Amino acid sequence: MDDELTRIQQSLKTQLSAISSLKDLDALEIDILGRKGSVNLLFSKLKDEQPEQVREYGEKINSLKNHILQEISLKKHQLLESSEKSSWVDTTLPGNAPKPGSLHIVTQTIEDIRDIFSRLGFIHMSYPEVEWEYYAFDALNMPKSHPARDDFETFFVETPEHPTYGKMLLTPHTSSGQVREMLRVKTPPIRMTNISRTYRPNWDATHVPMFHQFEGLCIDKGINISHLKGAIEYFVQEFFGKECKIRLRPYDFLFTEPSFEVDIYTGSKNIGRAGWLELGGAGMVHPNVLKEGNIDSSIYTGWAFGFGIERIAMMRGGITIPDMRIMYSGDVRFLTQF
Amino acid sequence: MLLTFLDTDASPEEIQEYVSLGGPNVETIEKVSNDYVYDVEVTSNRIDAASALGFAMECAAILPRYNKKAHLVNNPLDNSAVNASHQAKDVFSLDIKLADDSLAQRIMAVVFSNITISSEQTDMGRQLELCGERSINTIVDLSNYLRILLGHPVHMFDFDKISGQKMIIRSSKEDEVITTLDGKEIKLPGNDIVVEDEDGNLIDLAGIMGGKNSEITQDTHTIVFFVPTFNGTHIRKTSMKTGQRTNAVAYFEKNVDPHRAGAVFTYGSTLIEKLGGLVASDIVDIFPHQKSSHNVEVSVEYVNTLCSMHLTNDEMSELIEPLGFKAISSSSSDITFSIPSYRALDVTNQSDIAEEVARIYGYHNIENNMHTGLVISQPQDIKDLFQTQKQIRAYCSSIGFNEQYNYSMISKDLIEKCDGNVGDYLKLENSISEEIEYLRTSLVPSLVKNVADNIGRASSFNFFECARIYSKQENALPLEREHVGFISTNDYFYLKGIVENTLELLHVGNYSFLPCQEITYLAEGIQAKIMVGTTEIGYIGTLRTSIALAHDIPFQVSVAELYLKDLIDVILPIQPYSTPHTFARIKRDITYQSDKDHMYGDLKLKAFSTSKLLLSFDVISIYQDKVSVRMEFGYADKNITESEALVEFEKIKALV
Repeated sequence: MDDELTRIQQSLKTQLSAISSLKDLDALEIDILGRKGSVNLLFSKLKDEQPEQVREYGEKINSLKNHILQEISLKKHQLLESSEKSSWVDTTLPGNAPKPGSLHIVTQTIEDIRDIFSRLGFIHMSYPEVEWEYYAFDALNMPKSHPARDDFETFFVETPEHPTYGKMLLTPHTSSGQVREMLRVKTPPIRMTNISRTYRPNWDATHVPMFHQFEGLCIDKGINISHLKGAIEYFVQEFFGKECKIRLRPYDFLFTEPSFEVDIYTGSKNIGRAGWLELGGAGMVHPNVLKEGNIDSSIYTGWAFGFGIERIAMMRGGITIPDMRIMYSGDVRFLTQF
Repeated sequence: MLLTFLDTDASPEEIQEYVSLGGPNVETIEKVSNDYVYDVEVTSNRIDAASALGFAMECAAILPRYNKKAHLVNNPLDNSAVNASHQAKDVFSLDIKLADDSLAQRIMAVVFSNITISSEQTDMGRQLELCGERSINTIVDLSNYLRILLGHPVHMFDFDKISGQKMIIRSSKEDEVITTLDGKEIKLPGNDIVVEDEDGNLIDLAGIMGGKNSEITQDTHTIVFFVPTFNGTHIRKTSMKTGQRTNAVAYFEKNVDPHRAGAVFTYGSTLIEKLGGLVASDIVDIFPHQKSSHNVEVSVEYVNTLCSMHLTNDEMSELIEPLGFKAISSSSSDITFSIPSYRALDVTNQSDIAEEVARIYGYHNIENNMHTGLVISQPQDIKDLFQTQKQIRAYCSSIGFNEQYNYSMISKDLIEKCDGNVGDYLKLENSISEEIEYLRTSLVPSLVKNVADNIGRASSFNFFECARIYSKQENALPLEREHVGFISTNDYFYLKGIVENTLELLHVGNYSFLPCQEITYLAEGIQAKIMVGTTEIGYIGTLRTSIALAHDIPFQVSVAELYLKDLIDVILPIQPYSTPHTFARIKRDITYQSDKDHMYGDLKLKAFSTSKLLLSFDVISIYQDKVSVRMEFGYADKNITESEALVEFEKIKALV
């Protein structure tokens, strides 16, 4: 028995050094440690030994078995490592996983805007794109003679006029949601953002007939111009960066009084006018509009703003798109850039 | 021009910067020799500021806020008494009739004789050219100069060319013709304001352009200096219908102030007299409805609260006094302002006054605050919609789909190429292009066009779009439904996999695919409705080859469309969770012949209802029409035995 044990142990070394593949190693393992292998053979020969030596030899065989397992494991590691070391791969070749698609730049912009305003307690709402004249104009203090109601400023739908609400049209601005929201909520506070498709009959390098606007509306007791400034500045700094500043200039919208144009300064003096770029329009909600929304203007006041989405998306990306029409052209070379 | 009325130490750059912050926006300033040309954007409600005088008033109010000296000087409004001093010896009678009060608010006119027309360049002519207008001759230049200086269009007629020395201002009939100064012969739409002489000649297309027949030429010696204030709505309509848009139109359509016409008349007359003109008729002033000025009462607290300021009544009045607002009574709590005639239409209530005060005070002086208040909740259906769209977008964009945004309107051509009928669609009355005439009732046609348009730019396409479709409704706005459309140049099963993964991610309840044949633009044998119970939540299929070819798409495309509202309704509120099994499972495979009586969807349903121990029924391979399925059997609470598994296996084998 002792001789057997020694023979197995010594030949192990030689056998292992002759092995150069995992396959051969596995074969050796089976040879020695398998059901019909050399070690098991020793166990079966135990019964031929003297009773008082069975235990001793049993332990020796087990100890040999563990030794062999260890050696084989070591050899396996060696083989694996050296195969790794000896095989060469050009690790700079392109990767091979499925490529991602893309989200449209407008989607990304909308998501970010929603996040920013939800931090201020605004809910994001949704309204009809195909609207009545009443909500798009009359309710917003824009009388029938106003130029915006001309054929060439708004798309009208070919359908009979409504006796109360007027003609059916594609909304030219997200402000058509203002009075709808007032009527829905009934009692302020109202804090809503509405980002939606809007439509105007213009199609050239700087205009597309369908675009997106983003409306903000905040109505409550004690709301004043300082709140409008505060909210817009917060948005601008979150969206464009902390160095950004805003300023308000006088303007004229029929549904707000006072009305403003909002400019932003992004930090570079080389764009726009001495660094100031137009962002969009804003103002304090006109008392007549509050009235249409059944809100008492002697108790509640509000602010509203409207900005173009495509514009701010491009401003943020520092992207100059020479021809706007590519936005909705479906061109995959445009889409994959975002 | 500006310095005629403004005394200031501000530089042009300072004027541009400061006035733009509180008043009309000075877009550019250009230095030309010793002159500065200001390009000012004036909003429609402030036609009173669209002149050197109006702009000077803004300067006088705003510049001092930046510690600059600025006062109004030589204000013509201080002297609007109608007066012309140099009388001619020979006087004519000038007969002007206003046929209808509604056509004009005021007509002023007078005859000047002793006029010599010269086309030598005058200073006025030079200034006009700097302002981008043509210098024509002394008298015509003077009329244009007055418009820019004082903001009121005026006209000069050659008096000798007016038959009977008579001018009738009336409404035109349809198809009357006039030849204007630019030589154009215009056929009138009717209801336009025209001026006619005694012989019925149209000598002026009022508010738009004078007639060629009464033009000022080199030989003119006697003129009618005409200062009208026409009804803006009429002028605008005629301008739009005839396509004639002139500077005069831009002013009249915004309702210039008739009360200011007097000052314009006096100032203009003085200029003509300087050129040697002599007054040769009585002054005509037809002013049927003079309005007395109105007042606006303002609460000091209201203005301060709205604008977040802390001004006293005196401070408020002082700020806006240079604009022409006079405080006729004032206390610490209230002020009553008299509104100047040229702001009468624009300033009618407290908030208008608040705007005046705040803009002169300076918006940059107002602090920034954040609102506080109750938390607002978003309606659940909108919350669900945005959440679902976000999840769909996240998955589809990461798995290789590009998101499309297509126009909500498509062309008749596209509808018909996709086997649709325009009668089902809402149509635009005044679209600017055939491409965008009909409001979509499905997202698929646009996606097909996306693939067609992109041929050659890549070897395969996977697009999706989240957008609304518009369903006609009788006597109501259309039903706007949110859909998700998919298109892929990979095969039906690829797209089906994407759709299935999407539904899984959204935790849509047990969905199934119901083969159908009725979708006409899809291949007859490759289309299915997506169902959850009896609710249809969408469909999927392969585009019919003839339709793909009609779009010049040289390969097969698969499409799918999901109806978000129906889909959201069947999303499981609680995601089902099952503890992973720790007990043994036995696997058995089975292969069957795929045909119309042996469809995977049906077999799977039947298998699960036949065997209570079935855990999964998944396809492992498909070879020609032979489908191999692997089944797993097991108990949740104990080990299954080989013989029990065999029993279950036999049950299912019987189905197949």
